[in-house]
Amino acid sequence: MAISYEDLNTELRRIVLSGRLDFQGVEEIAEQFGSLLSSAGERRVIVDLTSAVLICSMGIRTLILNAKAVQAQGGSMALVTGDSDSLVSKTLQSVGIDTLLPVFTSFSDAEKALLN
Amino acid sequence: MSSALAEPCLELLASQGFHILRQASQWLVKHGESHGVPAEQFDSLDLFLNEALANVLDHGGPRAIAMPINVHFDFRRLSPQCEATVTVVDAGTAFNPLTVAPKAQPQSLDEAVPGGLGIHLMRSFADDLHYSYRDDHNHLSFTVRWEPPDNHAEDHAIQVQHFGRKSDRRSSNVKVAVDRRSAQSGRRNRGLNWLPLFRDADEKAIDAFITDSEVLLLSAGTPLLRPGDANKSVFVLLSGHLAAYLDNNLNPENAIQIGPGECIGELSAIDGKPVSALVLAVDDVRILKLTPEMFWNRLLLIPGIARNLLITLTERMRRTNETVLEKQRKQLELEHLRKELEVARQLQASMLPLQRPMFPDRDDMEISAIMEPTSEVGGDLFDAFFIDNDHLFICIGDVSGHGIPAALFMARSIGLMHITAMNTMQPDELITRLNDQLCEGNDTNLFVTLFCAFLNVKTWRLVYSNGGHCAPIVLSGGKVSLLPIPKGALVGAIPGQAYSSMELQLNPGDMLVCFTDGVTEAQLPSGEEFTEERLVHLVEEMADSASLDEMLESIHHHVIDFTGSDILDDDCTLLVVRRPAE
Repeated sequence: MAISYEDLNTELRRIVLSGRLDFQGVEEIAEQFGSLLSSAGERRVIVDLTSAVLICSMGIRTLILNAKAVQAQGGSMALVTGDSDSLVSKTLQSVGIDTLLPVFTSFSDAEKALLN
Repeated sequence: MSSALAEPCLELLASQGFHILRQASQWLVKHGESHGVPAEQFDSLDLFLNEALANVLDHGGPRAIAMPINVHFDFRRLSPQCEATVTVVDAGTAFNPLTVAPKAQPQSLDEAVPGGLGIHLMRSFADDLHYSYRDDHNHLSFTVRWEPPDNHAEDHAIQVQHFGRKSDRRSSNVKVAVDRRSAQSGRRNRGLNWLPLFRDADEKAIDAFITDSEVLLLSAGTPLLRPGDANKSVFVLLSGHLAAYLDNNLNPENAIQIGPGECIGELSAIDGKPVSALVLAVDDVRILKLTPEMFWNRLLLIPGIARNLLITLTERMRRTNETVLEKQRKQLELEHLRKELEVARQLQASMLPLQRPMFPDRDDMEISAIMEPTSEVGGDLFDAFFIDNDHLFICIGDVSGHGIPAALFMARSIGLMHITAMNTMQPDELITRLNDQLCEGNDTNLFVTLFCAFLNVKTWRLVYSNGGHCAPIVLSGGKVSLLPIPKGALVGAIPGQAYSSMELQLNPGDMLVCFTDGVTEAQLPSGEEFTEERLVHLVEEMADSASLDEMLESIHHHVIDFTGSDILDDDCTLLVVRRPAE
């Protein structure tokens, strides 16, 4: 499991989660993920899951809890899942995450939506 | 027609924690690949295994932790479909996930209560999900099915050819793969002297002996020998790799690797006892099979062969010994690490004022605390000490994460707080300084939520500040409510943050109950949380408790009873201060 981020400009931060978001993977990135969201400041955040190969319930829980925290601070967070047939996309679809926060299949779509 | 194949089993030790999930996934990869489980179905099995094992670890209780967890993989070809089943067998508290009501999907982030998603995912991705409780064990099976792209795909049966021929004359039912590599390879052309068993032996004698011997072709994942099999033949690996497993642990690091040229089965062929190891093809392999008649009556009569066989056996023994010694060394290292963790736990406990009563010489105030770490070293912290005769400093916090890194961060936080509290009695200034100090060199990106306060025990004026911690509960004038807290960011995450303070007057009989989210977020397996409302209600009920120690023990027991598990998901800490009634 790997986590990286990039501040694309003063308005947008991209956090990339790649590899297995299984229970161990979530444990590995949870703290840094929380810190990167907290330190995003005024920036909107796109969480890029296109390189994630699996997401377990703890991973979904982590996304939801952090999205709530971001929302509580007045920020906004969106997900990019890539191919809609991927396991990660299907897992997130099965729990209806798109009703809770914006989900896009491509980064450019997410970028457009968040910056408009 | 159904054809059941081998049903490998993996034994896991829950005491190793979430590490076993990756171990199980690696094991599943091997069986998924060897049986040609398509990626989509394999991913579903993988996800199930993750969720099911995590449920056992989180909610199985002490018996689940103490007893091994067994995982079975079963592959079946049911014309025209194939199916694969993974079954998790654990000795934990009986729990049928199929009885859990489906989770309603929230319509907004505000409504979303994370938890209970694991069972939902299992249901979503299974073609068949089955639960039974028998022999004091939970048996949870997850099945996926698919249409194989080619229903005539080759089975994992062993194919046979004769060393000197291109087809198997014995049986027209057995599909024979022509082994072109044997005819073309340099090794074949220069004879079989490269095999340690035939080294320095007369080439003509070997060629004459070998002409009618069988060559077995095994695809990756196919077992050559299974424990308990009767075996009288000796096998010589011509190409590819085999792995021998001495127990049910099918992790690659537990395997004894067997490379080209090495012998297999010679021990059971010599002493006539059943096979003791599982021998699996790691990749596609070619194996020379020597029947007992060939081995005893012909091969051993060739000069030099008996010596070569003894050398081969000796080398194998040495390698096996090294593997066993390596396992023993790792076990000793693990035990050593456990002892060090126990020392770390004791050191951590010694930093906190866990003694009761906390201040035996003070009868002008009441204070008590309880802390239950989930792992051997936890991330929660609290402290209480007098700055001078009149001013008491109290704090409670929760470091992100668990284990050693969180414990070290917690120790650093406690130490810095002690020093800072002796230099300022302004809680907002204390947190501001602490935040900047913790941010320095914080490469691990850990942070701590913190509530801290200075209490004048003469005037009972409480001045407090907060950095991302949950609001304490206050009992004031017989009414219980959440204490209004100033806004403040998590401590140690972002340098340069400003914090503010607020004040509260505590009157006779008033009480402040500080807690960490391990109390209010303690969960049922369904995901339902204990919640602040339950805690507020409990404090109301116990407001008149004569003893704060008893009150905290009672709250802790309520949380344990609520979750139904002696082991909570998160550290659970409470700190209570009460102004004595007049």
